[in-house]
Amino acid sequence: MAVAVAACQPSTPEHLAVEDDLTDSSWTLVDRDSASITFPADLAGRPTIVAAIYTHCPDVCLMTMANMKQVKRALGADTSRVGFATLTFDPNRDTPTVLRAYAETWKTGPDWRLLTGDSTEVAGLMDRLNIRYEISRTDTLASGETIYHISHTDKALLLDSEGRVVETYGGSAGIPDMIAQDARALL
Amino acid sequence: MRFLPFLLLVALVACETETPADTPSTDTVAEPAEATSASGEVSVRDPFVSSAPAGGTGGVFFTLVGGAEADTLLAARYPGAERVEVHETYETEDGLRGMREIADGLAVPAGEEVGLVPGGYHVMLIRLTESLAEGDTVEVELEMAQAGTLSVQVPVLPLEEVRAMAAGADG
Repeated sequence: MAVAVAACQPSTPEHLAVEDDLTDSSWTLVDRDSASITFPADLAGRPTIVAAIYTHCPDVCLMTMANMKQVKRALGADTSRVGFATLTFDPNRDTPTVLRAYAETWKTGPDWRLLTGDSTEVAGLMDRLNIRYEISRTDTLASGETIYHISHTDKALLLDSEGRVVETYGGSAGIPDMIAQDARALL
Repeated sequence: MRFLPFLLLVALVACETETPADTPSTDTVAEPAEATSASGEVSVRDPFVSSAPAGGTGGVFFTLVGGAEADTLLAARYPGAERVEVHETYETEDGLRGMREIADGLAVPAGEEVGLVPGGYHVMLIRLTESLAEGDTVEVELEMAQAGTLSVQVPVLPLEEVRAMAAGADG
């Protein structure tokens, strides 16, 4: 009987095989409310779409956020069964307060996690996710404030419900319908 | 890694040249927005800016429609930002994407369109002194080498519409 039931379960598509099991490590981050989040353990329990950005990027990261929001819309009734998390690789500027304002501007909703943290912890996580970033230009405004731009990997990832990476996409160029379809396949 | 084909093409071209790909026009999207030209030559079509919080950064996008003579976008001005720069997006050979100021201005050949779209050229509003709120319209000035100053009324769009505007360029 158990064999018969198992046979009736839809199988996970081959392209969603585990690429990196992140559960052998953990990273301590904070969300927009400064609440501690352990990555990936606190995201486990449902598939999660993760993207990396910095909020002072109005171009590539803008499209990444727009794509993620489109994925959320494409999931329709399954939206709440899939988690969303945006990680910043600019923790010095992207404080919880800044992330909260960003979330409110983009109307991400309360169920969408925006995560930052200690710069060393963030660097370790980004390294594990193969997301590179480096300051490409530093300048000083008339007000005396120092600004900088960051060159970075353009990437989003799909984690399964256990916190394992099963697929990666172009962050700004990923196809929302395809990402939604992949996430649904994990439900 | 899986990509949206059109944007991948843009990224690949940018990667080959170390300069941004020719960005497509946005002639398939949105209603024409108000724009004025000092000379009746080069003009602006389909402007939009992403909403952004105060203290943040905004990206202004539009299509420059070339006139009878070639022109060049030299600079942009917006009083609600500490600095405004005309930027291009690039991709390095090892896959990092970033942006940088266009030092010599953005050329607009006669009779041709130059699109400023996410992933390509854009006007960057640095350190906004006020938020860009969805539904608002802001005035941005473009300084052209030949046509002088163009005053452009730019609507502030929500995230969903930003994507639609950008995606519209590839149909």
